[in-house]
Amino acid sequence: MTTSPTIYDEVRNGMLPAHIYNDAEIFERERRNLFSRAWLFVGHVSEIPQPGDYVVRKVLDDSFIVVRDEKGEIRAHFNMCLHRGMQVCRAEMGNASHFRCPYHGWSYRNDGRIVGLPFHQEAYGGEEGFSRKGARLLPAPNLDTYNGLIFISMDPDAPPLKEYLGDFTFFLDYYTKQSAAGIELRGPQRWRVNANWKIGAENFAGDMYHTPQTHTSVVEIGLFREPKAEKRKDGNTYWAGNGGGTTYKLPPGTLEERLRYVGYPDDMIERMKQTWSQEQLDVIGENGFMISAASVFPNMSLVHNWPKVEDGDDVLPFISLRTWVPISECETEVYSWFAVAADAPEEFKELSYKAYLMCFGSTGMFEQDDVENWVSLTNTAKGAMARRLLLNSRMGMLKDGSPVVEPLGDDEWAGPGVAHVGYGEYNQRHLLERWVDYVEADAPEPQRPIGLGGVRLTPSAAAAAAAGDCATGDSCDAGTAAGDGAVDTEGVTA
Amino acid sequence: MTLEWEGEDIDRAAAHRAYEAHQRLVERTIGVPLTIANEFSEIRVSHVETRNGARLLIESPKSGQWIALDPLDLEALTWQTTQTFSAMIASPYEPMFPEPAQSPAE
Repeated sequence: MTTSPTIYDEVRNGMLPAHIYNDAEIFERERRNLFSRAWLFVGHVSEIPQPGDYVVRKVLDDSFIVVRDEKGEIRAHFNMCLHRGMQVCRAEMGNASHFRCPYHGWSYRNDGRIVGLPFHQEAYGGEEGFSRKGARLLPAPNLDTYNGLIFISMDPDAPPLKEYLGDFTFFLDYYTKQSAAGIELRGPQRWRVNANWKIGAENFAGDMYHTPQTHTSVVEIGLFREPKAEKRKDGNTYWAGNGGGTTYKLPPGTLEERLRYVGYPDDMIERMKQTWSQEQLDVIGENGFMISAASVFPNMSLVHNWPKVEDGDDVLPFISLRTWVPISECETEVYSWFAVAADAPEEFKELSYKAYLMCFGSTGMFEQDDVENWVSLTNTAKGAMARRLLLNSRMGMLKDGSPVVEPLGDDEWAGPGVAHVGYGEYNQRHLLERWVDYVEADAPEPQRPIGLGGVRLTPSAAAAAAAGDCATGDSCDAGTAAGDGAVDTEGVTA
Repeated sequence: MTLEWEGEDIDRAAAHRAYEAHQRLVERTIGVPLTIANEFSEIRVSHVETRNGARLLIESPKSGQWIALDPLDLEALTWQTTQTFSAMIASPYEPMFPEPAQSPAE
């Protein structure tokens, strides 16, 4: 007896059940099995440079206060008061040594430790009734940084971030470490689109094929130096570790000439040469590829491009980071940041910001073009017919699974991972294969809830409590705080 | 006759004294008060010149509480760590070291 293939088998075969882009059940599985385990980007240390600086960021339904405490450590606290669950911080950003819950006035140091309960003695009998020692806002189960990028994971047993990112860090450096000073961020702009979160992540990971069609007008108005959007097919798509992206082919020339060609001034080029490895420099100088859009699984994307920002032929590059935060199966909140080398000349920063605003963000021309498609796809994926359709995501692959074009050899590609020149959906397939790995398998049950400052039931005492006789003493144990969850940033100075 | 809790007259007298003291300080404000705020608190800070010296008047417009600190008080703040402020914040709206109650006659 043969069983029919599951939707996951189909996805692994490069044929996508169309309803995965608008299906409440699948979204529930994503929530339970993927977003509960993967590392998720929530911000950058340059957004909280001084002690007390904080930003509030969402991971699906969970709000986190991402803060630099008084000692300079980066922390992420679950934004829920230990008392009655009110959101402790409601402003999206600020600076505070202490947070005070608006509901009853419970107060916390910015490292998360509770300091005050109004009428502690009269209402709780002091430490006897509510022990402040060890009581703190719940830390994110896991927190780590790479080049100042702050990631959290809801999985306390998640692998180390660097291991999770794998070889993609090679490419992340192009976007986030153009010099020893790192980057600084502006933003984020935040907006919602009526589209499934996966579509944007796939698009940025590898969709060079949509540029000539979707973004024709951007080329037609002369925003880019390249006369044809088809120039994209001379670039390659690469996948390495837990992410992948697209590149443009550069004209012949030296490393310096090629970096000047995309608009970098000489002093920035000099710092890139001091910062990047020989292999990272060779991808540009020897192989002639310049990174463009990319995605880190599951929902972070990056983009690097170099439009004309003023009349004339001069172009200027910009970098943008974004996350696709799912609201539901058919709605996504986009966070979009502008990024620039912290030690770039001021004039470069301003023009680069202008370049970003022209192309991406809520006013960007690319943004308008893209979202029209994504909303339509999401709407169409909801109906009955979409459950009968397998979308073809096999570009670049022959019937037997062999590639249409061979991957680049060692003499053509100095970077890690596998790279193919031309149009292909290798990266979209990689991204969705990882999606299957997570979504198909049931994640372990979340750990027992943590009760802080009060009294916790042991399983045996729970039965007694149900019988109405749990009090204090042997049958109940005091709740213990989770790990304190701070990270030292890698030498980032405030 | 209106009913009164015991001690209400003492509180009222203290409030009057505090109001008058505050007025005297406000009248001697130099320059423009500075307001700083975050999502948890708003505070107004003014430079006050008394007849014989300077104070920093710190006011919480929302609660009406205020304090006027002299330069040594302020210098003492510079010796503190966050721990000091945590201890103060731990008991909102009351001093860490209450002063002995005063009778109206004093």
